[in-house]
Formats: sequence, C-alpha cells, structure tokens
Amino acid sequence: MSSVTLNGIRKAFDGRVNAIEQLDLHIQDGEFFVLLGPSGCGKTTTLRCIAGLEEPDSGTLLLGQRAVADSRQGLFVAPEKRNIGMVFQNYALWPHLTVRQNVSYPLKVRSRLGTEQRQQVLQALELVGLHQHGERYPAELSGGQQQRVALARALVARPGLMLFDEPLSNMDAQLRIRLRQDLRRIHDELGYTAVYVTHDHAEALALADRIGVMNAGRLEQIGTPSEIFLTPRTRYVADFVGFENILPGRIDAARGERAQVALDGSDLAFTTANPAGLATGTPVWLALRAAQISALPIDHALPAQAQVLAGTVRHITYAGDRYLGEVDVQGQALAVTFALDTWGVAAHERGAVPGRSVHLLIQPDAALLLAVDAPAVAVTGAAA
Amino acid sequence: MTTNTLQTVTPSPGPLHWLAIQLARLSRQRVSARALLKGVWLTPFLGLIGVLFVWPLVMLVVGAFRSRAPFLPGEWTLSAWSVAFHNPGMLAAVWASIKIALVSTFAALVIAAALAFISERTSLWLRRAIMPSMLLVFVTPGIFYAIAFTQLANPWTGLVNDALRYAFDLPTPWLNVQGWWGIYTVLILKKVALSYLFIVGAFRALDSAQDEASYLCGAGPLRTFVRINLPSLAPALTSVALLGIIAGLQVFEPILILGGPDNIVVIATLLLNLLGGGAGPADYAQASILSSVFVAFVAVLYVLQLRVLGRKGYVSVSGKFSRTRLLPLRGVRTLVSGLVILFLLLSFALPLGALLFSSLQPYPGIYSGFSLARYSDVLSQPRVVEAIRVTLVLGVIVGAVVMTLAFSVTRLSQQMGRRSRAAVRFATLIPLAMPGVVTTVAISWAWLSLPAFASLYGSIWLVALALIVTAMPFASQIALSAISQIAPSLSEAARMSGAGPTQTFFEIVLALAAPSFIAGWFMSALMVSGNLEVPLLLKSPGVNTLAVITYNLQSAGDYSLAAALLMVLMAFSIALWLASLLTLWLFRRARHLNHHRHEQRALALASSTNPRF
Repeated sequence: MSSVTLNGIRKAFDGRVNAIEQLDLHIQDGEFFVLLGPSGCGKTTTLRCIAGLEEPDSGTLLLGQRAVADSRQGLFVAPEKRNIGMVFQNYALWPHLTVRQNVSYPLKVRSRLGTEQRQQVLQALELVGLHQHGERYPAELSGGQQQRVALARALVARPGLMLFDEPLSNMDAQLRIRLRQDLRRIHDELGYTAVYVTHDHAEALALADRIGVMNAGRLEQIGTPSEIFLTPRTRYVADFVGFENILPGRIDAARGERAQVALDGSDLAFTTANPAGLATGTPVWLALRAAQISALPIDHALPAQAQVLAGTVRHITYAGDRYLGEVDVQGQALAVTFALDTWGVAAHERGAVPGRSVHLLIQPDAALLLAVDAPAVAVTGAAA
Repeated sequence: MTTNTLQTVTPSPGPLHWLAIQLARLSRQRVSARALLKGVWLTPFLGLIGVLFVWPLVMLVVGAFRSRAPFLPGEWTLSAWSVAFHNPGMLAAVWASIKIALVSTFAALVIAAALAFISERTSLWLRRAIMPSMLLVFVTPGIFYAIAFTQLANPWTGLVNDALRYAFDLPTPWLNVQGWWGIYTVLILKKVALSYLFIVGAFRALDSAQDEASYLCGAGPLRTFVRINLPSLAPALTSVALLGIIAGLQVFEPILILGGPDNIVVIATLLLNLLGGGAGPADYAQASILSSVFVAFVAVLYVLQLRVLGRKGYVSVSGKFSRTRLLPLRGVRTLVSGLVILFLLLSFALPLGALLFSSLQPYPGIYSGFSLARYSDVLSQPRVVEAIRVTLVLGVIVGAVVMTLAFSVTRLSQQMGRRSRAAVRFATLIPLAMPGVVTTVAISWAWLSLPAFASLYGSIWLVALALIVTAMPFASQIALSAISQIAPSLSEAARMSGAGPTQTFFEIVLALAAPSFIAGWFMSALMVSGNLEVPLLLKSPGVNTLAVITYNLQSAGDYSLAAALLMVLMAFSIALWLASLLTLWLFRRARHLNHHRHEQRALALASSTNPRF
C-alpha cells in the first residue's frame, strides 16, 4: 500500500498561467481522497502529476517513502515504473483487444502470464461483474460496462495506489450512483489508496474519506465530507458546496463565541456563532443555505426566541419536496424554502405569490461566518 | 539577512550536466543511461531529417548566388539575378503557371463542390459511385491522363476526331487536345479528385440539426445551403483552393506531353530546360533563382493557408451520429444524373477505353488488324521487364520506408516541445513547397556535396531517397491524421499499465493505426510508380521506371506501345491495390480469428466446468 506526499508541486503549461501553484498535500495509506473542483481548477493536472503523465516544474512527489519526482535532482520516474492503476474519464479501452486482453495487459507487460495470472484476470473481472464478457470487444459493451472493464484493468496488477479521473462523468445519473457504490465497496475490500478527481460534490460526499477542494491551482480546503459540506471555511468552498446565500457584511459586536453581523447595504443584522473569534469590525461573508431559512405565512404562529424577518416574495418555483423562493428583506434578496408541511402543495392559495408578505424563520446559529481574507489552505479534520 | 547560510553548495553545472538535463527534459525520462541513450538515438534521427529535407533547400538558395553549379568551385555573385529579372522567357513561364493554376483550381473546386454535395447531401442513386471513382482518379498517375487524352483527341490520329471524320465526313480535326484545352481538361480532372477528397469530409460533417433549425426558421434548401452550410465549409474550401493553386504552379507531366506543339512553357518545364534536360545549355544559377523565388512564394501561400485554417484544420469524428437528411432532387434528377455520368465517363471510362483501344491498334490511325501484339512487343523488351522490376521494388520499398519514417517522425515529435515539434513537422513539409523538379535538383545538388551520398549517384538508391523525400509530405499527412485520431489516453493507459514508450508505440499506437499505414503504403507506392520527374532528372543509367519508359515511347511517337505499357502500369496498380486490400483483410482476419479462438475456448471451458455463475 502507498501514501502520497506532494511538497511544493508547481506546474505551468507552455509558460502560461499556472495549472498548479505550490501544492502541499499528504494522502494517507488506504485513504479514499477526493479532489473536488470545477473544470480548470488544476485537479486533473494534480492527478496526472501523481500518475507521471505530467512532469511537475518544481517540487517533490513521494509515493510511500519513494521519491518519484524531484525537480531539484532532475528525478522523474516514468509512469510505467510507478505501479499505479488509473481509470480514465473516457475509459481508454483499446478497441483492438478483447475485454480479457485489455484486462490482462498490465500483467502481460510485466511479462508474467501463468495460470495464477489468468486467475487474477478472472478475479478482477468477477470483482466488477463482467467475467462472462471476457471475449467481447469494448465496442460491444455499454458505457457502464466499459468503465467496469477499465476499473478491472487498473486493479488487476494489485497496485497500492489507484487514480480516478472523473470516471463517472460520462454516465447517466442512475448508473453513476450504482457505480459509485461499487467503487467504494471495491476500495473497502481491497484497501488501496485512492485519489479521485470530480466536479460533482454529491459524488465526493458519497465516496471520500477526505475531500480537497481546489480553486485556481490551489487547495482551498481539506477536510472530511461533513466538514466540507457543513462548515466550509471560505466563500469559494461555501459557494461550491451549494450555499445559496453568501452575503457580504461586517462584525458589529463580538461577544465571546457569538457575534452580531451587519449586512452591507441594508439594515439587516444576524446573530450567529463565531467559533473563530473574529474581532469587531472584521469584514466577513455570511453564508446560509436556503434550507435553513423557512418562509412562513404572515398569520402563522412563530416560535419563541427565534430570529424572524419580514419580507416580500419575489418569485417562487416548485422543487418536488418543497418550494424554493426568493424573498426581499429590506432590499436584500434571500433564497429561502417554502416547506410543503406549512404551505401545502397548492402554496399559492396560502399566499406564496410574488408581491405578498411572508415571515422568514432562520435556524439559530445556522449562518456561517467566513473571513474575507481566509487563508488559502484551511486544513481541518484528521490531518490537521 | 543571512540567507547565504541556508544555501547548499552545489558544483556549478558543466556543459555535460546541462546536456544531460536537456536530453532528459526532451525525452521526459529520468537522467539515466536510458535517457542518454535515447538522446543519442534522437540526434541521428534529427540529422537524417536535416539531410533529407533541410539541406536541399539550403543548397537551392545558395545556388542562386553562385556562378556555377553548387557542387563545383565557383564565385559568389548576384549577376544571375539581374539576368533573371530581364528574361522574358522566365516571366512568360511564371505567368503561364499562374494562369493554369488559377483557372484549373477554380473550375475544379466548383465541380468538386457540386459532386461532394451530390454524393453527401442528395438521394441520387449514382452518389455511391462518386467516391470510389474519385479515389481511382486521384491515385492514377498524371502521365496516364496526359497520354490517354492524346490518344483520344490529338488532331491527327485522335480516336474522337477519326470517329467524327468517319461518321460526318468532317474535313478538319474537330477536337485538339494538344495545347491549352487539353492541358486544362487533364488538370481539372485530376484536381477535381484532389479537391473532392479534401472537402467531402467537411460536407459529410455538416450537422443536419443545423439544417433542420434553418428549415424551421422558414428557409428553403438553397438558402440554407448558402446561409448556413457554406460558411461552415469556407475553411475547407479556401484551404483546398490554396492547395490547388500550389499544386497548379508545380504542374509538370501534362505540360511536357501536351504543351509541346503550342510551345507552352511553365515554371517546371522551364526548370527542366535550365537544368540541361531540354534543348538549350544548362544555367544552374537561373534555375536556383526561379526555384528559390518559387519556394518563397509558396511559403507565403502556406502561411496564408494556416491563417485561414487556424486550428479548425481537422474535422474530427465526434462519435455522435445524427441521420443526414438527404435532398430528393425531384425535378432535376435526370439532368444531374446525366451530368454526373458525363463527368465519370470523361474522368475514367473514356481515357481508359482510349488507351485500351490504342493498345490493340497496330498503329495510331489504323483501324484494322487489332491484336495483343503491342503487349507482347512491349513486354519482350528487356528494358521494360527491368523497368517493371525497378518500379515494383521502388514502389514497395519507398512506400514502406516513407510510411515508417512518417509515423516515426509524427510519434517522436509528439514527445518534443512545442517549438521543436513544429520545426520537425515543417521540415518534412518542405518538399510540398517545391515542384518535383526543384526537389529533385535540390536533392542531387545537396547530396552530391556530401561524400556519403555522392557515391550513390547513378544508383537506384539515390532515386529511392529522392522519391522518399517527395512522398514524405503526403505520408506525414496520413500519419498525422492516423495518430491524432488515436486518443492520447489510450497510450497513457498503456503507460499506466506498465508498458514503456516503445512497447506502447508498437502494441497500441501502431496496432490501431495499421489500416492507415497499409493504405498510406499503397498510395505512396502508386505515387512513386507514376512519378516522372525524379527518375527523368536524376538520369541514373539503368534505373528506368515504367513512367520514364512510357514517356520515352510517347515522345518517340510509339503511341500504341506507350498505350500498351500504360495498361501494364494500370494492371500493376490494380495488383498493388488488391495486395493492399488483401493485407488489410488478412490483418483484420488475424485479429478476428484470435477473437474467435478465445471464444471457442471459453465456450469449451464453460461447458466442461460447473455452471456456477
């Protein structure tokens, strides 16, 4: 098995913008690590540097204790010498070889193909549920089956490290969920270290032990799925994991673990937790999910001690298990939820129409305070 | 600050260390014996590229400033330039070339676009015949057309003229292929095939969804074609126009064979004269000047073409298929069919028929005593038998070598930096900018200055090397498109599986590109067999190809013998073509058999073991 250590890895293409800037990362042995970010953030380049398909311009890269790239010493180990399995986004199956030939290739090039290895190929195919399709050609398989073959091929030589480059992005939603479960199950069975690149945060949450969110060639935050999802540390991460309301403001009064925040451009003020102990006067982003703000009919009973705002509905759309709406509160637009429990399926009959007044109930301490000048890498959780 | 205490003392890098690092960077390998070995291997490879493609160009330019042929002692001088600029013959030749290039290119482009539209966008039943005919015309050597049309419509014994004379008792020849009309006909026919093959992909790639969107907006088929399709075809059309002009400026065989009586001289035939291949004395400096100016001009055209094409040069297969909506052509169906049939007749059936007929005649103009005697006459000549052997050897060997070289260059240049890659690619394209005559001359001058090559003079191998150089741009185009169609991730997957770069090249890239390799081999072999300039100019005694002997027979007036020999050349081409098809078929079959065998084994295994699954 194999840990992965990146120290000061930097990579630029053709002298243009840096694809990766000064990346420091340690991935533990046996960990399922997901690199999450939008396209162009440098996550695939990072993965290709680990694979050896790109040579970093500077920095060192260690697999386990073994240095595989060190710009100072001019050391660069070719990809075929690193003993890594990789699954590509477009499957990269060789069309001129059968499924079985594709899967046996990594064993064949290591010039060992005896009975035991044939068994190994069969096991790999069984693991992905394709042992009956060994003599087909890739073109005769469906997309999901092709990606399973690619997975079997990457696994067959029992590498200590597996790399996944958005392997599920070419598939439909249902298949993606099924294969996602398979990927995690196989990882847990075999215990390899996995580095997985994706732009889909649902995929990251389902698969990862830890997630690294990347932005413009830098790691913005590293943490467990729940840390990333519930307590993002920067505006960028909050936006990426789906915080609909990210409002600029300033800390009015900091009292111990709590703070009152005044929003810019309105008279609105929120009271919320301040675990980082940000001082009075600090500019902040206030992040709130729409799910944490419930709209209530104006005549609806209000719970005691709750933070309640009055606003006007701008527009409203049906979203299956709830309505999502935008409500104007003293000139500030907020994304909010209209729960079916409260409003019923025919919400407009109870006054959920543009121009009507509603009350907004905000969960206590739900709002996150994000420092405007947050550090580039906020490391939380196990590795911190 | 005492930063110096933190610095580690490193020995200053010597030149060897620097070289090793550069080589390592170049080959993306660890600084190791292997990387150095690779660098050592890459250097002679680049050297070979230099000697084959760059050195001839250098010698050509040098020749323009020397008082004697470049490989002889002489002085540096500019005197030839003033002579050149006041030489009316030279200006006339340049003007004639430009006229030919422009007229033939635009006429061919209009016909080719019409044919491409018919074959890809209409439901005409004939449309399926167009592509194979165009391929056939494209690979048929120019000399075949020139001679076939001479048999068909020369004023004295032309078959059409004789037929008309016989039928209507017309006193004077009705058609005359000798001169401008004949030259244009032959050039346009050849060029239609080239243009068609170049643009048909773009016509095919037109997205039906865009058409349908246009129809729904209320535009008819014609308006849709003009407003929607034509703009997306523009890059392909302009670039094929430029390519056609460049090819037109270099035209050689048709002028040599059809331009004689009207004394039509173009750049390529003037060069032949200046180099001593014609009547007058040789003037190497004039030849150099004409060639250098020509190369410079063509280089400008190429830059222009690159600008026009931008990065849109290659239409890649998207893998997303939508059904093309075919135009039914209701009212004009018969008219269009008639025109297509007329063109196909003119471009293939008539010339082939004329040659076949002439080859059976005892002598042109004699319409009795038809026999196969011309074939036995021609095939009993020892020089013809020798020429068949030479042509076969040259075609097969040069085709194989040039395709291997092209694939290697393309592959190796992928591993280089952006600039070195562009430089290597450009070097292999140099021959495209020089007429065959110029290339041949540049090559012989350049190589005669190198002792290793000078000893090859007069041998078949110098001819072979020169043919490799002239066929290289075509071959590298095929290699480039074949290799760039193979997704890089297929190679990367092999590397991740533990295969080294060489193993990856052979087992993945070459295995996937094999069909293109074989097709390219066949087409280069055909181009080489039909090439007249190189063997004619290198004048290696004893190295006569079928094309040279055909030309000699034709210029000596042995029309029927020339026709018979051309038929032999055609048979030879068809044999090559069948051989390439057979190779491809065997290749696919081997792959398929392999598949089948495993399937049988798996079935046997499944039936012998417990059905556990």
